[in-house]
Parts: sequence; C-alpha cells; structure tokens
Amino acid sequence: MTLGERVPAEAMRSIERTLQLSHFKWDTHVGDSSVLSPQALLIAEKEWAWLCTKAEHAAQELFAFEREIACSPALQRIIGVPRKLRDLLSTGSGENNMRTLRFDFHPTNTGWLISEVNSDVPGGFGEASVLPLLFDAFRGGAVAPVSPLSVWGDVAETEFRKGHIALLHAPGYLEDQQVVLVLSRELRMRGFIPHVIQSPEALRWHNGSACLARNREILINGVIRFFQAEWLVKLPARTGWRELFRGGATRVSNPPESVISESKRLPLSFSSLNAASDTWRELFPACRDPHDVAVAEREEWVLKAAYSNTGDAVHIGAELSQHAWERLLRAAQKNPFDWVAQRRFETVTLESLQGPVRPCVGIFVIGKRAAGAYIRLSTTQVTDAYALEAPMFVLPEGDRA
Amino acid sequence: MNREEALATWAPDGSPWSPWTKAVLFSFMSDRLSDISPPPSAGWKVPLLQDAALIVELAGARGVEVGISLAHSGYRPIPLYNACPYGSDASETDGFLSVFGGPSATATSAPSVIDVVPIMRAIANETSTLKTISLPLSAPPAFLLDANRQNAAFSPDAGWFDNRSIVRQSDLPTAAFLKEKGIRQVILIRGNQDLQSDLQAVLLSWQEAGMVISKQAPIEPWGPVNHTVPRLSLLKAWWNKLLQRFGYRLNSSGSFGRFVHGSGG
Repeated sequence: MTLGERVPAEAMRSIERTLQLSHFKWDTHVGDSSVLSPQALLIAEKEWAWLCTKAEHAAQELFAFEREIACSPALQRIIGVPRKLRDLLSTGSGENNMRTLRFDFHPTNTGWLISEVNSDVPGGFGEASVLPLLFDAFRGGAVAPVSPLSVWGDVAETEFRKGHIALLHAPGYLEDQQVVLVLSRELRMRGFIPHVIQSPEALRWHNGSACLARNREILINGVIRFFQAEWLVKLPARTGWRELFRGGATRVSNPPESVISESKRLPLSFSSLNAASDTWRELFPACRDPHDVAVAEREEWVLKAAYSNTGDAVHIGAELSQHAWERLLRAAQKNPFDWVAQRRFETVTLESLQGPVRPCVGIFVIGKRAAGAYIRLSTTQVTDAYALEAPMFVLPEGDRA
Repeated sequence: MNREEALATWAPDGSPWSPWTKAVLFSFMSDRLSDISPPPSAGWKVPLLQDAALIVELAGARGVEVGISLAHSGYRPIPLYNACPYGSDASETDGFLSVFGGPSATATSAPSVIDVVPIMRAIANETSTLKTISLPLSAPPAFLLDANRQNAAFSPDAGWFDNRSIVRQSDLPTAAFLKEKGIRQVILIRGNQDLQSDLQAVLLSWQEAGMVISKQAPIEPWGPVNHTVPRLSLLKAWWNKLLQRFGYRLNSSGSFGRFVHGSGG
C-alpha cells in the first residue's frame, strides 16, 4: 500500500470546485486546512481482494449476532442498546438486501485491524464514488474499485422498484445533508421520486405503510434513514419515530437491528452468543467493560462511547494525562453501558506530502457484497473531521503498491 | 455566466480567505446567471483597515448588499451561508423557481423554514458587480452570515424542510491564521439583537487568543465600539450542558450541530 503521485494544484482546485458545485461536497475545508488529499491511496489487487473478503465475512457474522441479540433483552442491555429501542428489535424483517455497512480497516505492524463498523448510518458514499472519477486522469494503470453509490442504487432499484422514497436526516447537520442529497440524486436519476425529510413527523403511518404528512396521497415505498437510531429515541413519541422500527409494507433502511451492531460494546456479547465470531475476533481489537480496566493500564486502552460518530468520543489513554484518564475512566465506570474499552493499536504511517498520515480504509458492504471504500488519511491516530479524504485505486498484479 | 464562474468571482484563486467561502448556495444556482449588474444602491463607505476582519451578520439579502458596499471599500466579501435553499438535489437550472414562481414551492419539494433563496439570488445578481471591483488578493475579509440562520419566524408544520443552520469554529479561520495574515481586530457588523451562541463561541475563541473585538451598526457612521464578548454565564453553561444532553448532538464529522426538534418540539 502506498500513496500515488501528487495531483497538480490547479487540477486539485478544479476537483474541489466540481465536488462543491456538482456533488454536494461542501466540507472540503475544515478549520484552517483543506481535507482533500492530492494523493490517492494505492492498494495491491491481492490485498484489496483479501480486505473485501474479510469485510464480507465480518458482515455475515454481524448479521448472525444481530439475529441472536434481537431476541435477547439481556444481551441488548449488556451492549448498551437504548432502552426505548429494545422492545422493537425483535420485530425486524431480518432482510439484509438493502443493508449498508462500512468497516473501518487500519494497517498495523501486525496486519490489518478493524477499529469499528459503521452499521447504522454509514457515510462517505459520495467521496468513495466520486473521488476516483475525478482523479481518473491521474490513476495511471491502477483501477478504480466499484462505486458504492452505484451498487446502492442498483440494490434500491431491485428492492424498492420505483415510486416515492423518503430520505430522513437530522436537521442542522450540513454534512449529513450532503450524504442524503447524494443518495437522493442517485434515486432521482433512476426514476424514483425522492423526498428529503428531517423528522419522522413528516410521515404518517397506517398499518405499516407510510405517506407524506403534507400530502397523504403520496405513498412512500421506502425510507432511507440517515438519522442515528440513538438520536431518534430522544425525539418526543408524538413524532412517530417508533414507526420507523416496526416493520411493514414501507421498508426502512437501515433496519432497526443495525443499532445492535452499531454499539461499540458488541464484542462484549461474544462469549454469550452461539454465532461464530472468528473474523471479528481476528480483526477487531480486544474489548473490555470499563470496570475491567485498571487505572494503571492507561497506555494500553482506548475509551470509546458505545454510540459515537467519527472519532467524536474516542479517547486514547496514552494521549491523556494520568489525571484526565482517571477522571474519564471513573466517568465511564459510572455509566459502563455507555462506554467500552478497546485495546489500543498503532496504525502504520505512510509518508505523504503533508507528512506522515495514517490510512483508514472504510470498506462498504451493501447487501452482502463489498462495494468500494471511503478513504481517510489522518495525521493523528484518531480519524476525525480533520482527516484528509482521498480516492483509492487498485494496482493490478505486477504493479507494486 | 455560470455558477462556477460565480464561485470563482467570490472565491478567487490566490486570496487567503477564499477557502472559507461556503459553496452551498452556489451549487443550487442556475447555470445561466445574468451578466448585468443590478443598479448600485446608495452604498456605505467605510475606512479600509488592513488589520481587521469584518463579520457581517445581517438577515437575508441585506448581508450580501452590505458585503458589496464593503467590497467597494476594499474588503473581500466571503459568503458563509450554511443552509440549503430547499431539500432537494435540484438546482434553479432544473426550473425550480422559474416554473413555480416562488421560493421552495414545488410539487416535490417541501417549503423551507428559512428562506435563503433571496440570499442566493442576491449573490448571483451581485456577482457581476463584484467582478467590476478590482480587489487585491490581500484584501481583508468580510465574512457574511445570515442573522436568521437559526430563527424560524413561525412554528413550521411537519414536513417542512428544516434548513436552520449554525456557524461553527471550523467554518472560520483560527485566531492563529488571522494573526498570520496580519489581522489583529474583528469588527462585528450587526443590529442590536442578542448575540447568538454559535457566533459567541467563535468570537470568544478569538478574544481569548488576543483578538480585539468591536461592534458597528450597519449603514451608520463608522465608529466601532470595543466589545467584550461575555463568557457563558453559569446558568447558560448549565443550560448548554442540558441542551447537549437532550438537544445537541455531534454529527458524523465530529462537529457540534444543532439537533432541532420538529414543530414546537
């Protein structure tokens, strides 16, 4: 794995303008710096195939975990599923055709590891699909992976056929709206009529079928939920958020059970499950309940919120003072179901024009198949909003990555 | 003129402030923009202070008009409008406004809570004016914010497109960057309404880094008054903590956004 040649500054400006004006990508600059990498990530064909296979295996195991945990309120409690969702999980359809996941892989000195799966509302479709197209003139003999957006659109056509689709996201979050607009356009290009909504209140339900609240003649074939389940449960009951998790003629993607695997505490349930967890045990760092971590083990552990988004509640013990670590650990131990300790790992660095960067290869699994990757290159161990975003290309056999 | 040329006019290559221009409204513009400048308004002449960054927080298209006045005085207007005009992936080119004759009133698109179409049109219309003003690349910035960004003047019905927005520290340069470019003071151009907490957080971070903050009423004779941005009161800090617990959440990119409940919620 390596980084490609630098794309000239003038071409980068054109790429940025195209992203902003034609692909709803408005957060190309965060704070004082651009987050567009002028270098693509190059991965050897064999390594890419291995990563895709592992992502698919991890997805299969994940679906089996969800089926078991959906029927066990005790396990749901252990992994920290919000209380208000627990009675709704066993009503899920169990269909995975439209299911979308993103596994975040990191190269380490001992091989690849997965830091987490974004199981509920994975983002990065636009970047993963458009950046390889915009870097096409600079990819040499390397090949772009399949576009996750295109795969997602194909599946949507099969699953929803045609008609009206509601796309739900939380208001006030421009980054989330970017994702939804990208999905909305993909649906519109395929003959659907998309409706972007920001509250479950925008829908009216009758026996599992939804229509638009402002025009009840518009029947909704499907709902794309880009609104975190753990946020939805905070809404008043009168908004009708529970309908999104009941199952019925109007299907909702991702389904309610995605909240199970979205919990970073999921690995704590493995010893109680019948389902095989070989891939997860191989690739995910060891996890512990915060109570099982000693104050003296600061350097070995990372504390993560059970439900967190893109590094927003990831605390690496080694980067905290002893005092801050003790305070954080005590807080986590007070509310253990909201936190998990994950064994710390070091991502290997690649030398970039911006200095050493740590790659995060977010591989999408749509339905049951791997479908492209959202690449971020971070100057720190935690991949956050300041990480560079890059396209990825696959180097055919014979070319060295 | 198309929207790419419009964006390049407001965010020219080489200006240190161009990267902060938010392209949101540009991406919904028509690709057939007028090349004719609107008739000049009365204008507002202000002194050019090379060590000042201006924050223009005015409602609707007024901010763009004042931004153009400031451009005549030597400041580079930087649109920082974070709200989409409508909840659809279509643009004006797709016949949105021309066919239906009003903002956000389409068959497939819900009405918007904050009407930012006048801002979008003002930016489009004033692009030709801005083109005629020869601003040096080193011109100090005037960041343009919508004073209405968080405020619906009414309680929207379920199903309206809720495009209320906030400004965050990551939407603006850090104090370190401002200082590197020779900026020592920030002049806030706005009415007398209470300071919104999102902008307060940005100003506080600058003030704590040593920037001098002052206030100036728009169109009034020039005379900025020093302003100490208040720290959050204990009560407000407690309230914000409560909001973070029940109302605000981190978004997918790790920044705070406002988690706005539906109508009256």
